[in-house]
Formats: sequence, C-alpha cells, structure tokens
Amino acid sequence: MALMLVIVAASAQGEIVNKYFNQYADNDQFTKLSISSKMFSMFTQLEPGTPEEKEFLAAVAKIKGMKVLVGDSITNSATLYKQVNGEMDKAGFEELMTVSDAGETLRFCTKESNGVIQELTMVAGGKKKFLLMSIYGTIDLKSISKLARSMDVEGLKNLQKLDDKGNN
Amino acid sequence: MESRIEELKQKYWDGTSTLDEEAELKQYFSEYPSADTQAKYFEALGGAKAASPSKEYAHPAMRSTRRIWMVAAASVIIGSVVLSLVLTNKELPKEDPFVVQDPQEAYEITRNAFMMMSVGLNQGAVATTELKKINKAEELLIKN
Repeated sequence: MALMLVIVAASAQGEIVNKYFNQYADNDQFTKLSISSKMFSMFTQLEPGTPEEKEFLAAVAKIKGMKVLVGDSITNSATLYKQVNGEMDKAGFEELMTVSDAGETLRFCTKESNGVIQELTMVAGGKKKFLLMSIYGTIDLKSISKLARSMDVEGLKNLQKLDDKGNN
Repeated sequence: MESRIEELKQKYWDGTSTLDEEAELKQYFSEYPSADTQAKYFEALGGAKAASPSKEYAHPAMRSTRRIWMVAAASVIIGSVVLSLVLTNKELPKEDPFVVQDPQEAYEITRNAFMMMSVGLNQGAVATTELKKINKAEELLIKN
C-alpha cells in the first residue's frame, strides 16, 4: 500500500504541465523546456561564486524538476489561460496569488502534501502570450522570493530572455 | 535359526518386516557380526531408525501451497503498481524529448525561470502591502 501511495504521489507531480507538454508536443508555436532532476542534483554540486549564486543554489536545492511551456504569438491565449487555471483548481491546486499588470496576468498556485509545498506553478496570460511553468520537489517560497530582492532585476525582463532562449 | 534369519532378511528387503522383526535381525547380527556380509548394515539399523531426520520433510502438496501464496503476493504487488498507474491515468514513464541536455544552458534557463517567478511573487507581495495600506486607510476613515 505504501508503495502504491508513493507511486501515486510521484506520478501526480507535474500532472497539468505534462498534459500540455504532450498536447502541444508537435506545435511549433510553443516552446517546451524541461530541466530534469539529474540536472538539479548537478546544480547542488556547484560551488557558489557570489552571494547571489549562493541564494539561487539554496532555492533550487530540493527541486526535483522544472517544466516551462511558452507561446508568444498565439491567438487563443486568454482561453488557454482560463482552461489551464480551471484544470489546476480541479486538480487540487490552491491559488497563492494573482497579479495583473499591463495587460498580463500572473497566477501562482501551489500543491501541498503534509504541509510541504510539492509543486509551484505560474501561469501567465497576455495578449497573444501564454506561459505555464511548474517546479516540483520540496519548495521554499521564501528562498525563491528572496532571489529578485537580492539581484538587480527590473520587472519581467527575464521573461524576454527565456523567450529568446526558447526561440533559438 | 538360519532359515528364520533368511526369512526376516527377505521380509526386510521386501519392506514388509515389522519393528519387532527388525529388532530381532539387529540382535542376531550384533551377536554374530561375521555371520553375514550384510551384518554391519543390520547392526546400524536401530541407530538409523532412531535418528531424527536432518531436514524437515515437506509434503509436495504443502510445497505447492506455499508457492501459490508466493505467486499471489507477487500478483498483488504487480497489480497495485498497475492499478495506481491506471488510477492516475498515467502512461509508463517515457523519456522527455524536451529535456535540456547542456548543463550550462540548463543552469541559465533555470536561473532565469526562478528569477521570473521571484519577480512575480514579489509583485504580488507589493500588491498585498498596498492593499493592506488601502484597507488601513479605509478603516481610519470609517472610524472618523
């Protein structure tokens, strides 16, 4: 029975993002990026050179995987945004916060087990833009939110970087 | 006497001798050790019968029962795994074709993605703080 519970819990991680990865696997309008648990365990072996790197490595220390689905020229972004959020609600995700800014809406949701956040998703919807990002493992929200404060970041310029990376 | 012993030996080899007859044989060959080439065998007869078997005997039917239980246990485990996969509507794990293989690229992407999440979380935090300020101001207005 314990084995069964472990398998169910493990397979439930990244459930929504996996579904959309499969759905848009052959669609060139979407960029799909996946960082494996093996890669995250490699990060933990790195020696931080700066305090910022140290904070970043602390934030990813217990992460088991990350998946990102990005589309920046899609026609049904609003529908997709609603659809994904609806499915997350049904799948037992809890809304952490929603931020609306300059035509873009960001929604953060978490999935907990025994008081520990096991998955954090960010869904962004804008004019012709859509992003679904999911990280899973053991998530420490404080250490993630600290990253932006410790580095000199202006707004969402990294969203552009990520899009550029995916389009290459 | 000789014919009696021959008769007992024949019954023994035929598997029809009684315990008393076997004891009689043993007694005879212990008294006349050189009487027969088979004397040593019959002398040891009593000891061999008394000795407890070194390995516990298991009836073939019991062995098959144990095997059935083992097969049943294995079936339950395999069934649980398959059922859990069916219940979660999952396919068996496949290799993800979108996994970033280059560690440097993976590091940069992860860093940018986490930064993006962090910025979003902080935007939410700022918005919450502003909302709290508004609520506080509203409370003060209502009090006045």
